This record gives sequence, C-alpha cells and structure tokens, in this order.
Amino acid sequence: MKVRLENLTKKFEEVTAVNDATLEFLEGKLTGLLGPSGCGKSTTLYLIAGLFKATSGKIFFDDEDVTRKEPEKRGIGLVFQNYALYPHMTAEQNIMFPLQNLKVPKKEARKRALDMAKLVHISELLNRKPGQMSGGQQQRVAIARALVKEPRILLLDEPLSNLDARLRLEMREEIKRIQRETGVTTIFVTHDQEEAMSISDQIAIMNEGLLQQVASPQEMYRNPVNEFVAKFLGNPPINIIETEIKGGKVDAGGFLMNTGTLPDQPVHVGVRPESFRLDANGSVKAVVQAMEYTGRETLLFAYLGEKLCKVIINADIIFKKGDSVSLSLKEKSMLLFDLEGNRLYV
Amino acid sequence: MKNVYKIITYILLAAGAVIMLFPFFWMITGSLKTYNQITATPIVWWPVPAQWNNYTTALEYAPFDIYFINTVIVSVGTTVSVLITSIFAAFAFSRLKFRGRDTIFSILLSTLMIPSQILIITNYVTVAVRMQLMDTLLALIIPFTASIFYIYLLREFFNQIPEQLYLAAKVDGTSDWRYLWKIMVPNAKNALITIGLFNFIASWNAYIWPLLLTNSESKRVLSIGLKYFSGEAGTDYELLMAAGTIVIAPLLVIYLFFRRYIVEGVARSGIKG
Amino acid sequence: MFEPRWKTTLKALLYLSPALIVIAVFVIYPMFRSVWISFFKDYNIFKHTGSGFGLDNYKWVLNDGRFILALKNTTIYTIVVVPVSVVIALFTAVLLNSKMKGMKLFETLYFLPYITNLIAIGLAFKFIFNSTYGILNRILGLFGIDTIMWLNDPKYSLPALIIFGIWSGLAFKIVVFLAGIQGINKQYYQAAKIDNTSRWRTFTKITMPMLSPMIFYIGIISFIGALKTYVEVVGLYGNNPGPADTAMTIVYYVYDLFYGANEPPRAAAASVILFLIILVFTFIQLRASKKRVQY
Repeated sequence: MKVRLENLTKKFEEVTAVNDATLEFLEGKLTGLLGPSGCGKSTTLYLIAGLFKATSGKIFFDDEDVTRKEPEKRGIGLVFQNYALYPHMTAEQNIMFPLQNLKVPKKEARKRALDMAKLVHISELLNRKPGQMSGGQQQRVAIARALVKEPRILLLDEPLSNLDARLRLEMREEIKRIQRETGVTTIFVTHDQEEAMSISDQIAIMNEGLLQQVASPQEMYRNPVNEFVAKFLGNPPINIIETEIKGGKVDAGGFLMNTGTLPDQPVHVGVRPESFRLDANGSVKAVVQAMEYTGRETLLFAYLGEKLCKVIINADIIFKKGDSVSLSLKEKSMLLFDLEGNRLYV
Repeated sequence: MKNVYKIITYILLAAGAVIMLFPFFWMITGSLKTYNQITATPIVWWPVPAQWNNYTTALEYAPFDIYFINTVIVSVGTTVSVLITSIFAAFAFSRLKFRGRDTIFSILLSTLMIPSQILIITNYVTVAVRMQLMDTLLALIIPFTASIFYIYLLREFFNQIPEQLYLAAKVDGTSDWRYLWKIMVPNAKNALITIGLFNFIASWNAYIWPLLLTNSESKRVLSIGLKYFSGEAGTDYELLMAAGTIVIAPLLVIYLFFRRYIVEGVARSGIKG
Repeated sequence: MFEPRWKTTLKALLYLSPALIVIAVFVIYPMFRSVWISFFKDYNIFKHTGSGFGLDNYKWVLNDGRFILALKNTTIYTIVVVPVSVVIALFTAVLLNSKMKGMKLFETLYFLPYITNLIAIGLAFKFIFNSTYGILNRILGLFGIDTIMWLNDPKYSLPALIIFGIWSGLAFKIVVFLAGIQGINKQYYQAAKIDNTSRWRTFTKITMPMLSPMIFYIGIISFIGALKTYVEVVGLYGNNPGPADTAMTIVYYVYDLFYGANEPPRAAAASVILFLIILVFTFIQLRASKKRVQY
C-alpha cells in the first residue's frame, strides 16, 4: 500500500501545524518522519490515521481517497509513544481486542494473537498485564496489537522515546526486523535523527509545518536541500562557516572553492566534521583548542582562522592544545547555502 | 526526650479516640441496658446481662423493619441511577468532543454553589404536586438520580485515563459504547465504588426531603422513623439507643468492609458529605 | 483530539441526556423558579398563581425577630465551630502523621463519625447531655460542678449544639489534613532535620505554609457547611430548635417557614438571603486568601 499526501494542510485555529505537504510513502518500506518537536510530524501521522481531519488537501491510500474516512475504516495500525496498552487486560487480551471489535471468532482471534506474539517474541508473556512488563516488552505488545488485524499501514508515533538507551537500540532493530518480515508499509515518527537514519528506507524531514526534503538517508545526509536539513542530520553537527562569494570563489576558513557563475553574495558553507582529512600536505593549518575522546574516534575542536570547527579524526592520534594541524578537504564536500538557508548548487 | 514525645502523642491520640468513639459506645451499650441501669448511680459502663429485648420492644413501638427496607430501596435506587447517569455524563465530558462542552460543564459546576434549600421548595411542588408522587418511595429516588458533584468527580477520574488509550481504541474500530464499558469503567472501578459508597451513605442519612415527601408510616425511611420514634419514646433511652443502633449498624458494617475506599475517596477529593 | 462536529455533538448529547434531564428539572429549573416565587406576596403552589409581586417577603423576613435570632445563632455557631474544629483537626492530623505504630488504627477510629447518621447519633448526644442521668453531668459532678440543663437551659443549648457540631465535623477535616500533610515532599522534613529544626518550627515554617491552600479550602467548605447547619439541630432537639428557639439556625428557619408555617414564598426569600450571605462571605474569604495563602 502506497500512501500519498497531496497539498495536505492542517490548521489549529491560528497555528498551521502542517502546511501544504505533498509526498509519497513507499509501498512496503519504512519511512521515517523526522523533525524537531512541534514541526508537525505527529500531526501528519494523526492525519494519516484519521484522528485529525485535514483542513485542506487529500490523503490517498494507493488510489483510494481516504481523506474523509473514519480512522477505523482506514485499515491502519497505530503504536503510541507511551504504548497505550489497556492496563486492566493481559497482553493476550490487549492483542485480541482489535479482533473482537471486528467480531473475529474467538478461536481464530486467539490463534492470530498467538502468531503475533511469536512474531514480536513475547509468547511467554501473554498472561501478564502491562504493569508487570518492562517498557520494551510493552512496546512489543503494542506492536503486536497494531499488527494483529493485518493493517494496510503501520504508523509508529515516537515509539522508542520512552525506552532507555540500550533498549532503544534493541527495539530499533526489532522494528526493522518485524517490518521486513511483514512487509507492511510503515511510517515512523521520530525527533532523533540518528534513529531515523538507521531505521528508515526513506526519510521525510519537516520543520515548522513545512516538508523540507524526502530522500534516502544517505542521499539526505550527503545532499541536503537546505541548511536546516544539513544541520538537523549528523552528530556532531555540521560546521557552518560564514563567508562570501567573491568573483566566482569562496574562502571558507582558508579552503577555497570554485563557485562558477554564482553571483557575489554572503553565504554559509557547511562542512561535515568527518569530511576533513589530517594531511601533512594539507592546504590549511588549524590550531587545536580541545579534544574529546569517544572511544571509536576523536573529536577535535580546532580554529580554522576565526572559526572554531569540529573535526573527526582517528582515535589513536593525540594532540595538545595549541598544536597546529594541517587539514585537507575535498571541494565537493563543501555545501553552499544562501542567507535564507537554501542550497546553492555550483 | 524522644520517648516522652512518643508517650505524650499516644496519650493525646488515645484521649481523642475515646471522645470520637464514645457516643457510639454509649449508644450501643445503652441499647443493651435496662432502664434501671441507664439511670443508676454509680454509672453502669457495661450492660450485664445484655438486654436484647430492647430491640424487640422498639420494633413493637415502630416498624423499623419496614423503615429499613424502605431505606435500602431508596439508597440502592439512587445509587444505581447516579452511577449510570454519572458514567454516561462523565464519559461525554471527558472523552467526547462536542460543541459547548466546556460551557455546559462550567455552568453545571457553578450550580454547586446554590444551597439545596432554594431547590427543595420548588422541587417539592414538582414532585408532590405536578408528578403526584407524594408519599411514594419513587419521590425519594427520582430527584436524586443524577448528581453534578459525582459527575465532576468521575470526570476527574476518567481524565486520568490516558487519552491515547481512546485514540488507540478508535484506530482499532472500537465504538464509544464498547470503549466506555470495556476500558473506561473497568479502569475507574475504584472511583465508581467510592462514588457509590458516598451516594449510598448520603442517601441513607437523608432527612429533610423524605420528611417533606412522606406521610404514612409504611413509606418512612429510617431517619424519619427514628425522628418520630424519639418523639414517642420520650426518655426511654434504652429503646432510643436500640433504634439508633438499628440505623447506624449498617453504616458501621459498610465502614468496616470499605474503609479504604471511603477514607481514600475523602482524602483524594475532599468530599464533604 | 477528535474535533467536534454535529454528529459527535449529537452523540454526546445522547450520553448526557439522562443526567441533563434530571439536572434541568431538579436543579436548574428550581433555581430560577424559587427565586421567582420569593417575590410573590401570595403564591398558590397548587395552582401556580401568585399575587403581590415585590420585595415584601424579603422585608418581612429581614424584620422577623426569629430570623434575626437564627442569623445570630448561626453566626455564633459558625465563628466558634469552624476555627475550633480546624485547629483540633490540624493538631490531630500532625499527631497521626507520627512515624509510630498503630497510626492506621487511630486513623480508622477517628474517621468513623464521618459516615454516621446525625439523627441517630444525635440521640446518643441527647442521652449524654441529659441533665439527670446524662454522663456528661455525672462526670462534671465529680469535679463539683452543679447540674447543667444542657438541652433545656437557653444559656447552654447553643453550646451543646456547638459541641455536637465540632464532634461531627472533625473526622472529615482530620482525614483531609492528614492526606495533605502526607502529600508534602518528605525532603523538606529531611532537610529540616539535618538543620536541627525544632518540632514547633518545623510545624510553623514547613507544614503550615505548605498546607495553607488546603487549610483555606477546608475553612471555606466548613464555613459554608456551618452556615447551612440543620440536621444537627434536629438530631439534638427533635421537634423544636432548642428552648425559646435558642438553637435555631437559618436553615431551620427556612424549613420552619416552608413546612411548619406553610409560607413557601417567605421560605424562598429566606433561602435566597442565605444564598447571598454565603456568596458574600465566600467572596470575602477568597479575596482575603489572595493575601494570606502562602503558595
């Protein structure tokens, strides 16, 4: 099932939560809906679920217009951040509940619930109530409950943000596995860029109600359409150097880039911390200010001229404050943005 | 020093407990004394042998068994009705979205300020004259089949059940009716028990309304029967105490079994009788 | 999250209708109707006809000596019962909050009077107050105090009512205060202990300020409740409001006009006056609280 939004807009009195969004969620894939809190991503999800009614625009499931359909008629499964399990029911009763709404015979409902429990690895917990389960286990039950009626689309609203760091990594893999095994079209809302990058086949990134970019994680990381996307993805975040185009060239902390026919103007140059290379023959000298060890690699804070930049280097190299290092940088890893934040292409 | 504080605390609390409980003790023991023991000097603290026939004598004077049954009918009747109307109304106010919801709710809440005396004058006309229900048990039930205060309380409890449960149920195609009975009500079980108990106790102790709306002995509830009886029995305190004990005993039993719900209910919501 | 639409509004009304119908008939309608009736000099409740529209009933009630007496009694009752019972309840709640064995049992015992039937327990008080063989006089007699005609001497009838009123209102206040005290963050007390704060200072500087909104709330509730005292009078005195009306309260006066004297318009006027008194005092207290309540 393909999900298509056409000029979708949602206004709450004065606030426009979703502004004219047009986008397609790929069939059988997992799409991450990413953005800072308040950007309209959860509203978009609830619009797709039918819990909100669109102010204008349309929502299509394949070619069927579902914009005016009630949530229960849309054939969706929804998993909430706080799981929303019914506290007085066991895991099994929770999973069976949607089927009972559909008047599925008890025997069949039970069998399907057991199958689901097997899929999400909670077969041995079926008789427990939510209060007797860990967060991760509750999350599995919630996923099973969402999937048991074989929805056309699975919607997940910040499903991992209530879990601790370890469980989050584990459940991330689990959701990916379950999505692959079932092949259900999945939309996953998160504010965590790392989570979105690692789990998604495709990412849609939003800010202040506006859809910014839709692309695969790699494409979006390497080729952001604007400064917001460039800054939102990546940790440590991208370095932004304020400078200007003069006579077809730009000088970013000593690194020069040909800007072709672009007119003279002030610009921001974005450089990812891992794009720099330690290079004895490097064209630019930087002065080390501080180092931060993360184990796998080392984060170097160094002055490129006036600008303090973050540079990722190999973990076994050690510098002191005040050391001078030579850096090199490929021209194509410099991203150019105008002052409105729009990407400038050479 | 610490032990002195401890001992003083215990002494003060024990003294307070004696004062709080003494009227109950005096009523129950008084109901088992002879007239001579009631008036004897020195004071008879414990009735030996217990005069159980005070109860049969009191029953001969006035049909407390009938009063008792009437009171049970009225209390159960109002309590069941209040629970049902409150469940529906609290659900609408806490989950359903409708136009004018907050306005209606605040208007209802503001009427809690109105003293019941103002209402009783007109309600008497409505029930006794217009509905022609004078001297019926139905007259004692109908005006009390819904309560703004309990709707307010139950709504508070319902609001504590996360909204996402409702959304999850909606997505799964659960009807509002089914959601109310399968999810809301089971999760608000304790609140419903508490509200039911409060209403039952209040109804059991109601005085002015049943006094106004009933004449005949066969329609009296315990409070009214007791009031008339106290006029007739005069100073036969052993009989008065027996009759009083009949009225209070069921309340004591309820308190014994449901103490937790009652105390927590009061503590949590500051309910005043 | 759903937005209101006409369909959902209709459905909600269906859920609301049982309660709303009852409330409309027995709360909203009588609220206006009674006020309306109170303006008629003569009103026939069977024919719903009235004559002599005006403020006569209000003038009559305000000039009635029995009303003035009821107002005086109720005022005295209220200004004694409310502060005394609040202080006793607060003190008891603090004691009950001690970390000692048996506190749950005490709590259970203290709360018992809350559920009781005031007509019934009023008989026990009548028995206790009885001048010849009541236990109160016998105990006072041990200290050489002469027989007091608690219920028959006009000097003592109001004090007897006040004693009964304090006793019957304590349970509720104790439980609410105890819950309030237990709801105060323990860390304040731990910090106070580390700083070697005395018990009295802990009470006045931590417990009282933290509890002040609740004390105020209970104060207002008890105040309104005391202004509406009625069943206590019936429980203690039965068919009359004490010797020479000395224990007559405003509500007793209202019902006496309505039921005893069969004067619904005047009773309605008196009840509206009661409402206005409650309203004014509540308003004053709310204003005062803005300055006093400490957080």
